[in-house]
Amino acid sequence: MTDFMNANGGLILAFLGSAISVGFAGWGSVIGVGMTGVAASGVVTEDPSNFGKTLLLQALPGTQGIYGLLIGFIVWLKIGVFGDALVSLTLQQGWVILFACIPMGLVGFTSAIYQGKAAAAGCAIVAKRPEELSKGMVFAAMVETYAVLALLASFLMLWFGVKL
Amino acid sequence: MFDNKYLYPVTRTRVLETKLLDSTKVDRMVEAKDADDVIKILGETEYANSISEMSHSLDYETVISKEIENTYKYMREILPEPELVDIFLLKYDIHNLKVMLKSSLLDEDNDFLLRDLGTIPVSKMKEMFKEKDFRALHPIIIAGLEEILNSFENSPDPQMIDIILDRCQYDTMYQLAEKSKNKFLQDFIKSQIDMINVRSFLRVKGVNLGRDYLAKVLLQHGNLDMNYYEKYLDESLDSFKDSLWIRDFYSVVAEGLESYEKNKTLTRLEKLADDYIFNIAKQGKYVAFGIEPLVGYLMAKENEAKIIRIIMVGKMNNIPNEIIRERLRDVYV
Repeated sequence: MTDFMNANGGLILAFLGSAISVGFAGWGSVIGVGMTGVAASGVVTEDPSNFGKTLLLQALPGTQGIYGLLIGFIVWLKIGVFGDALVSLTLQQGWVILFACIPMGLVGFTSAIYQGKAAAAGCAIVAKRPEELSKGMVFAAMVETYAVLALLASFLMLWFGVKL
Repeated sequence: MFDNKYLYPVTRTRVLETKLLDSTKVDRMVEAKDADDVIKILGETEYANSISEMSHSLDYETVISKEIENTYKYMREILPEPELVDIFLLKYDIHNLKVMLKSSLLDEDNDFLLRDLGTIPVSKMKEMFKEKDFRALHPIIIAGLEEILNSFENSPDPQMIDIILDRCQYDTMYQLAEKSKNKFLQDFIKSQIDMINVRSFLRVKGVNLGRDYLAKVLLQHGNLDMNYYEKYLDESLDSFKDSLWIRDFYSVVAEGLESYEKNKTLTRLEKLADDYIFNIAKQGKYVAFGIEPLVGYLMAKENEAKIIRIIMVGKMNNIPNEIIRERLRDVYV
């Protein structure tokens, strides 16, 4: 068992990290985009001319999923998923990759949900005052800040922290 | 409050809110030269559909009923718990029950007063009366009907019909709200009960109808319990008012009593009480996703009906614009 972990543990942890990043950030986006979509349908039922405006709002919570995938990509790039053979990792390197992925997974998940709530409330603004779309977008986009910060943290840790 | 269940209903209702009568439209209606003109202005709004169903040029009641009916139909369609609509429809059932009971007990024909908006269609309710089978009603109301019939045997007093059925209405509304576990609905109904109780208390005290009568007309489930009012029945109005300083309807009572002492009428208090309830419904403007905006919209629609009725009656009787305006309540926008 110990031998197996010493030989493969690093890679397992690295894959787990990328799965957390892609999986959780994507999961959050699914909830956020879905929630905004439901709210947007309410607006469009009564006033179809607001389709474009509410679609913009619906797209906002979708970015977390993309950021999560980006971090996943960097991990796969580092460990040679796209190359001829996988790089062999020490257990320590595996742990570093896993922890580097956690900010993106965690913050991506929560920020997408809360951004979804803000965007859904933005749909209510569009419902009453279609000309005030930009204000609703700004409120929702504020949440994006933290997803971007998490992306930055995960990226820096992976890019400069993992020397292979 | 953020309740995912209400995402679709609330945003959809927000669009409809923009189609409510705004104060400029209402102003124009008040300034209109006659009733026909008012209908013309209504024709430019969401009411246009209902106007096409008018049987004659001044048949505004049809327009109002149609619009209210459509609003409730819409509510039932979008609410995650459609049965909650019954809380708001109950008043029409109770109204019809009162009319039919009076018709059958006093041998009058009041069918023209019936309004087919309640949870039970008028035709079905008539059948219930014919077959004396009331099992379809809420248990609280069935008990109330029995009480009325019993008390009628001893002393035929038509007023008892109103008193008992009003009590049944609010008891049932409160029970339905309690069952829904929705805090806002419970508070909303509690506040309505408070306002009714305060009015009953002042009326009983003013005309000296006595403790027994007060106990009959007071409603349960208010924020103040029934003993509270009974305790203040023998004390001065001022001490009753002062005892309420901690309540959020203090200003309603204080201002209402001030005008009562001057003019000896409760008109001002009634208007303030209506505004107070309406303001609670207006909370919906500040809640992102919950039942509040939907209740607010419903109340706004019912308020519109009142506005149209006041203006139409005023115009048909050539009442000056200022007096019509005074009678109008705040418009929900």
